[in-house]
Amino acid sequence: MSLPSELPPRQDIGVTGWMRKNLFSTWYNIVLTLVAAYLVITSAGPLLNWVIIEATFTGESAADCSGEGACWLFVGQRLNFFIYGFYPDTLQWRVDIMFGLLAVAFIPQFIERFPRRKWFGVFGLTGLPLIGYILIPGGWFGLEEVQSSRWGGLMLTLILAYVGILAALPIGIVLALGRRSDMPIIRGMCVVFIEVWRAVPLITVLFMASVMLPLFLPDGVNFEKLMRALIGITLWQSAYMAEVVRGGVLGTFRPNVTLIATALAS
Amino acid sequence: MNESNMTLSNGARPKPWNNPKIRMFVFQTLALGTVFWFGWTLFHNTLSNMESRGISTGFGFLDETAGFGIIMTLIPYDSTMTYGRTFFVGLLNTLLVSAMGVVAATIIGFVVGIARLSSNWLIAKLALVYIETIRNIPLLLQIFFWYFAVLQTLPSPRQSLDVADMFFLSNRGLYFPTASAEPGFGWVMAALIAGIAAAVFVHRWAKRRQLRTGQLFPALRVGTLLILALPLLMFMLVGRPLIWEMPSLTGFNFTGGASILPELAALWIALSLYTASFIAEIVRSGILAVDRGQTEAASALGLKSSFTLRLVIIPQAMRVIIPPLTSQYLNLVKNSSLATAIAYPDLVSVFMGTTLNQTGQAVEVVAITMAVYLTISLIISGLMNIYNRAVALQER
Repeated sequence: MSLPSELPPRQDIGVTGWMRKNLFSTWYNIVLTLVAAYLVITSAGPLLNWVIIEATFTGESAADCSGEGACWLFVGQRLNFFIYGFYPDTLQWRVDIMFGLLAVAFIPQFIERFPRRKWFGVFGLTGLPLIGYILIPGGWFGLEEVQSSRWGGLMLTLILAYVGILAALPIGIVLALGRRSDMPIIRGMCVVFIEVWRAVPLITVLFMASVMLPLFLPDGVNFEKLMRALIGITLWQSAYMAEVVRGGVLGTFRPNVTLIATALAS
Repeated sequence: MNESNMTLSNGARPKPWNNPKIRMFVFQTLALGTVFWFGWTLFHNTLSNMESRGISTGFGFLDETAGFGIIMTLIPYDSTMTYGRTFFVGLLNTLLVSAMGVVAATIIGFVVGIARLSSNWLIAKLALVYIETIRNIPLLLQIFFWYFAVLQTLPSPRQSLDVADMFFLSNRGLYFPTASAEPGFGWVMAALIAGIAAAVFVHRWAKRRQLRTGQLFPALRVGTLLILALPLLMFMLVGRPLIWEMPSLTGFNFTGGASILPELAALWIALSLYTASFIAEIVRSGILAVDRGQTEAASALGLKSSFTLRLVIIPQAMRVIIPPLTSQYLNLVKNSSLATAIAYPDLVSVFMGTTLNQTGQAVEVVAITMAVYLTISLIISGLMNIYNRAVALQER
């Protein structure tokens, strides 16, 4: 003869139970909850008011803004500038193609069972930069040339990041392997390279790239501004990448794994 | 393995290009040669370029008169002093904001990291929102936000917000009273040193007694009391030997007292909050890395929860926390160079900015600046490595 099972006490289940457990379990948790709730309510209200309720979304010029809340008009009006910088309006389709190709290359990477997913990735690492190199600056195949000084906005951010990542990864792998090498001179050079770049701020590297790089190069050879920034970013990022790769290598290449691999190979 | 004496199964010696020792020698010679050739080419190019542009080399410019003013200096400076002096002004400003940032970021980071693990749902979620928002917005934007959107929109000095007529917050910065010591103040300092010494002594005695008898003594509380009470008592005894200087509004700005400039404040707040969000995640990972069994074993032994935290969890968590924490400190020092974007006179802004522009000595200035950051980074990681070795697992 067993007793019929009963529900837990009312105060331990449902919303009340959840609140008792997660918000008001001890006296200091009650104090913390009340203080935090007060702060959230007093700051979220005015913020919401400023961002949405009192804000101006439609209109023609800054004069249409009510002044009470945020003025979001300029975002819509300047959106083109935010994305393309001074890239000529009639040529922006070239940038749009690159955005599209970027999506084509990388959206499949997030879908597990996408057919030939790997090849889309390979395209992203090889074909995509090549097409971009031809399409965005122009000057080839009858495409009108657009100086890099007219690039800007989100497009330039993505170019700097993409090229930086792409160029730094192989250099980083070489440096990481060099740091684990048995050859003392190679190892020493890699350690010095990595530690020096890692120890200085990016802004000084960019300074150096823009001020000192022209001095380092022989007469007549000159890189444009964007190229100098890219060289600086790549050198700096490759040192970080090297440490990331080294971390991964140390995580898997235990001595016995290396020994087994050697045994299988010989 | 004695690879150089390897013989193949048929008795023949391996070809020289298959001999690891010879290969090593060839590769390293090639690499060394390439680097030397590369370095020499750079050196040669630089020299000939500088010659053709009429730039003189050398560090003589450091003795020339700078001729520009700096809004914030920790050592006496005016525009008649040398470029060498501007270097030290900038360096000290960098060190100041870095030190302030490291302290604030550590405190905020530990608090938020623990809050992230709180059993209080609201606190944990607020910490989560803070971490994910702050660390996903570029630091430069945050510095701009604090400088232009918050501190520049504060009221002017005449309408400044004041607390007890001692602290004044306006768009010129935060003004606060300063104290200057009178003759008797040495006694107070002596009392402070005595208090610290007494606290150390009490701590040692309590530890010895605990080892001998097992009895506990509240050494931490007594020590804190000693350090605070002794100097305070002496301060009252010798008749409060401090003169307070209050800031007061004269004309359009404050005089007297000391101030934190908005540039420094914006940089400090942004650096601290940004780095703290990373430190919070590091602290969380460190605490979570301590196995639950450790806590359970400690409570099975009858340890109070505060002792479990202090003697079991924190020491083990610190092993996981210290190495990534070091790199966050390094990042903070390096990120402080973004000061140049809001004209806080740090090393990059003063020395690599104004001094470089005025003298045109690019190679020397950039080399000095990078060497300074390299040195600071090496010192910090050296100190943290020593600390890490002290808390690391002693393998026997």
